[in-house]
Amino acid sequence: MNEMKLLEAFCASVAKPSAQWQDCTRARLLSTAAAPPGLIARGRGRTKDRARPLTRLRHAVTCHPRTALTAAAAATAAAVVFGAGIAFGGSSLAPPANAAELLQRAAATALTVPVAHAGQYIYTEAVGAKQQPPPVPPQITKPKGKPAITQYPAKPGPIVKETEQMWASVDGSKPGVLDMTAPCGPLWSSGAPVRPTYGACHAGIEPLGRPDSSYASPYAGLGTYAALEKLPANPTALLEYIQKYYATSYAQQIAAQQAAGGPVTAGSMANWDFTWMRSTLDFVAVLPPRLGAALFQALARIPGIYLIPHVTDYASRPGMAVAMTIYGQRQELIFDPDTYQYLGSQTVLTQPLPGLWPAGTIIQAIALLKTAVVNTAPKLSTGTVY
Amino acid sequence: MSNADTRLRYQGPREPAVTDAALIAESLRIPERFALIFDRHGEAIHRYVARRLGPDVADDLAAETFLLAFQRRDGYDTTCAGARPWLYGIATNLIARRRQAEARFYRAIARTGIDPAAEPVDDTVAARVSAQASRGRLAAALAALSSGDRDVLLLAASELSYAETARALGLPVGTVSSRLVRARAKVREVLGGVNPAGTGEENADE
Repeated sequence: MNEMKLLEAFCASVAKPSAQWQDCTRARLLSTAAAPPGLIARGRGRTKDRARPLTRLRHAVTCHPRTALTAAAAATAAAVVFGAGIAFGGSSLAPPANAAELLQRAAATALTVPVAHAGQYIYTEAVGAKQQPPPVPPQITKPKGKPAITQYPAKPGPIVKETEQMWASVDGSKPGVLDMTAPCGPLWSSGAPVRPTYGACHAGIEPLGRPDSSYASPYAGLGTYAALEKLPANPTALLEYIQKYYATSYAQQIAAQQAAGGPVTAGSMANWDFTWMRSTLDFVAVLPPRLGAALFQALARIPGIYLIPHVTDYASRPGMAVAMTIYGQRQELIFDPDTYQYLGSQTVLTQPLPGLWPAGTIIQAIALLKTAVVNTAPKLSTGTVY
Repeated sequence: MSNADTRLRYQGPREPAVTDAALIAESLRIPERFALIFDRHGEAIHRYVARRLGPDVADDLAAETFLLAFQRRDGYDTTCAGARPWLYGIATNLIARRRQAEARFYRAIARTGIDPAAEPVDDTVAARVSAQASRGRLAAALAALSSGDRDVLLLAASELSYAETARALGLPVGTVSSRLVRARAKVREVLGGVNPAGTGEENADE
């Protein structure tokens, strides 16, 4: 064996760094990398810190599990110092004690997802539970001079399980493609459409329109990744944006509510915030990293959220949930218990709907099985487009 | 239900292979993206530093390599798709400040036969067993090299090509190959049984 081969073996037989070192160093790097406000060290000048990360870090925590703190303590200390979660696979951290802690870790994970660019597509593969359209369509009446009243039929359609794949244009510049196994209808019963469908209800493959222009819903313009990139990536500003958005979109309903003597309560504002976030997470699936982090941080501030340490999602995967109970329905946002990646959501009845479903029924769900940023969407040949 | 024949299938990974250069460019706008550079190369850099200074020092120095790289990322030459030579270069510069500690580390291995950087011996690969037997003498040979020759030799033995070694050290490729030839000759000499005690030129600066 010549000396070069010996040296190569000498170099190759070096022990790997510990997982703790990797977690801890990665956390230091992420916290140095500025991040949205709130992920940065408290009470420090952000600009100054960014200019001299080494100075700051030398005074902070070192990732030296052998001689200094234990790895978990070091990682936790880093989290405390920087106010950021450590959210990495195989992390040695204790499970989050509450919803805010889980969301801090989810925010750190959100910062590391791939960035999508104009011209690309967000691909998602999902399995969901959705209510079929009711046998009788909702009745809309419009009394003169008053806001329209929508009366939903007493009996909604059955709940079906469906799988779907979607290729959504990042910037809405190209048509997307949606492929479903179940007859369509919005994945949600009302209020929060998640998957756009066009035209008549059917199963099969259909082209998606350009979300920016033709996606007719209260979420118009928010259906694209590119639109989300323009939103404030800052928890406070994001919450303000959502409130303003609802105040504008639902001006009529709010006026009606106020006219009837009912104030817009903090509770209903929290519901809006939560619903907006759930819809955005489920619909766009891959979020711009900073917006994703800001969203989870903003979610952590919504009053009424709580942690469910063990849940099973609609694809039978174990998870942890951040939940909120709204009108007798528990809405769960589910996260991977190891990586804190967002997995999907479900709505569970906490009280029976008499004559329909018992308590515990999952009435809406989506489990995101695969998400990716891809360059192309499948071409639809004639005959497959409905 | 749609016909199975008409169902669309996700045809394997279509994600563009994002190069290190593209990630670093992205990280100027979204600094957190730099964490992925660490994910890709953190282990290799740690092992490289651990080989030269031991695992304890590597914990600090490999981390510092990435923090420095993050600070200097706006100067990264984006025509180089892979960031590894750049990172090895930064690590090598940091190691250079601890030249004496490095020589001491090798001499300790030569003297005791114990290599704190080595992974636990549980593999049966013949090459590795052979390397372990030669560990002490190799360490002695490395201690005897000039730091410039050692940089070239250990980068080449790590995984870098001549061109990448040259880029890491900011040297012409010709200089890299001539140093490599010289360094290999010296190592051969020590391995050949000539004075493995590690009393090389490195002692001069202690």
